[in-house]
Amino acid sequence: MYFDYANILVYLLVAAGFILGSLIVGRVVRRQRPDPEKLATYECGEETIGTAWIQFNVRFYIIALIFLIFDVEIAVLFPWTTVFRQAGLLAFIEMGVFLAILGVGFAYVWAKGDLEWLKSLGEVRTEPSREGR
Amino acid sequence: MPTADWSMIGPVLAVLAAALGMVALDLFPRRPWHRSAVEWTAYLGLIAAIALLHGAGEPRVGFGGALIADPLSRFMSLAILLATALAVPASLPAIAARGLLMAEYLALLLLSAAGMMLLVMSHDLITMFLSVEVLSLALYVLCGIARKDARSNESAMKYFVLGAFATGFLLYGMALVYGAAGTVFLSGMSDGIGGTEGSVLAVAGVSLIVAGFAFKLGAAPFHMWVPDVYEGAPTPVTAFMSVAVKAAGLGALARLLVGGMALQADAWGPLAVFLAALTMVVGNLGALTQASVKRMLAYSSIAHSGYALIGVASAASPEATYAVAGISAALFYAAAYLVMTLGAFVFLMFAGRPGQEAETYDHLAGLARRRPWAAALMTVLMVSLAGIPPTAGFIGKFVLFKAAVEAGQVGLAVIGVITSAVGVYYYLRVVVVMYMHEPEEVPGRKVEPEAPPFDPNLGWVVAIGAALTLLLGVYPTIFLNFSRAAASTLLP
Repeated sequence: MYFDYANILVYLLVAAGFILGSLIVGRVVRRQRPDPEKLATYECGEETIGTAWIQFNVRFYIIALIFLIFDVEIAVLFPWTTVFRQAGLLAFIEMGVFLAILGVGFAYVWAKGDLEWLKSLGEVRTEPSREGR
Repeated sequence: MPTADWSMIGPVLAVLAAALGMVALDLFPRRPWHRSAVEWTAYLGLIAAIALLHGAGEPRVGFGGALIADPLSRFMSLAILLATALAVPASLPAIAARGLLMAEYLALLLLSAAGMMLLVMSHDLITMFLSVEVLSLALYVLCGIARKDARSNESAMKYFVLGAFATGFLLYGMALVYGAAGTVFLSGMSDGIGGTEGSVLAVAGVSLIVAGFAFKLGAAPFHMWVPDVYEGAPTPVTAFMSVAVKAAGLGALARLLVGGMALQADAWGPLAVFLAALTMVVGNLGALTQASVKRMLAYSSIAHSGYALIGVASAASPEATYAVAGISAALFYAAAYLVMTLGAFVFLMFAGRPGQEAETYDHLAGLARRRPWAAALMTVLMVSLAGIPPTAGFIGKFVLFKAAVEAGQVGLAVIGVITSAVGVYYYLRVVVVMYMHEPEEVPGRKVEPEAPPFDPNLGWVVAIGAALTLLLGVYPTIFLNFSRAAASTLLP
């Protein structure tokens, strides 16, 4: 039965080979004259400053989570629009309930102030300098 | 046109609506009635859910085969709703004393209960997996809801990391079983897999699924998280999760193994036997040496998972009547375990003062003199956990061991009886400490001169737990009929 999947394996090998082959051919054939302009990060890229393994603000997680939730919402909404005409009123109500649940969650995050970037951290303790000058 | 049978999931919708309603209520400006409005939203949702549970009727499959409403799902849903309804009043004093977020807490509690109800109704692997996630995610947050408490944070972190790990087992097992069966639906899964002879795919899949559920049930050797998580989580959360997750997980495991993989019993039967035996021994031996009563109850809950797994192991028997008896006994035991353990955890809050729970045995010393009723209720619960008549724990163990012997699992029954005898020591130690020990005179710590202030609602929850324990012990027939009906419709 595993032989049934042999064509997928062949396809994978051909696909990988095609990419590798074209890269190698390009490398061999093209002329190489690097200069600073050519080596610069292209258009939308940013120059890196330091590594990615740093501590960063925990609020990014909330933004990422909210983004994810609305991303998933869109992913559900698009297929829904294509079958809306056939599915009728029931689908409309179902989507209404779905959006209402999302709306309550969004209103919760908003009302609790988690969307505000600048938040008071309360009293900030300032430790006395250790060097004692 | 998708088929949707909304009346089937009426109870789940009621609970979900109550949870959403509480979150929405929390957004309005504070008024004096705010707290009681949130509280009553929770009660209304639970009452509506219990009312919407249909008492009788043929098993119905709906939502394109994803969900099923049958006696098993109703029995387990009722148990879960009962645990939730008792956990809400038990939580309120802790919320007030520790300054927790009330609406969030109760909403998460109800969301978790909704996930559990979906879990016992789920009729395909994907719904089952999603329900496990819904109930677990809410519980991870609940464990850590005391944000300023380091132990609560530790509890949430351990539960989350190990829970995510176990979820991996579960999902991988489900993927392999899907590969072997060609279907995710429980009906037709057993035939789709066929015999387990030489089918590595099916055996590996079933084993991984059993391992995933064993983690959720806190069965050895997947029990390491239980004591730390149960000890660190706020006590009402511990009370809820120790009983409701096990009831839901056991219901789903029974449906999956007995209902969906009947032909593969030679693959999961030995696993269940191994897990049950090891869990009983590890749980009871671990509980012996604990100084904290809360940790002792955590180990005791491991041990009780082992007893319930005896029923699953007996259900691997090819004889249909023995399989029904095994599952029926396991379900009854889950219900008995639910009332007694919930009561015992809530007692720890009731026996202390607001903000300071009774934790070690010393805290309970001489309690019978100060609070005779509280001590009497705890005695009933401890006697039941030890398995002494006329309580639910005795009847539960009796039907389990009987089912095991009939199904040919004599070894398991023997281990069960021996470990129960070990358990008597640490359960009755609580009673001895309450009735026969003097409160210790610790220099610098004043022994409370009079009865400390306590919330009477906690007392009512403990009393309901003790009363149901006695009811199940004295009139078990009604409940045994329920559990037998639930088990017999399970078989294909």
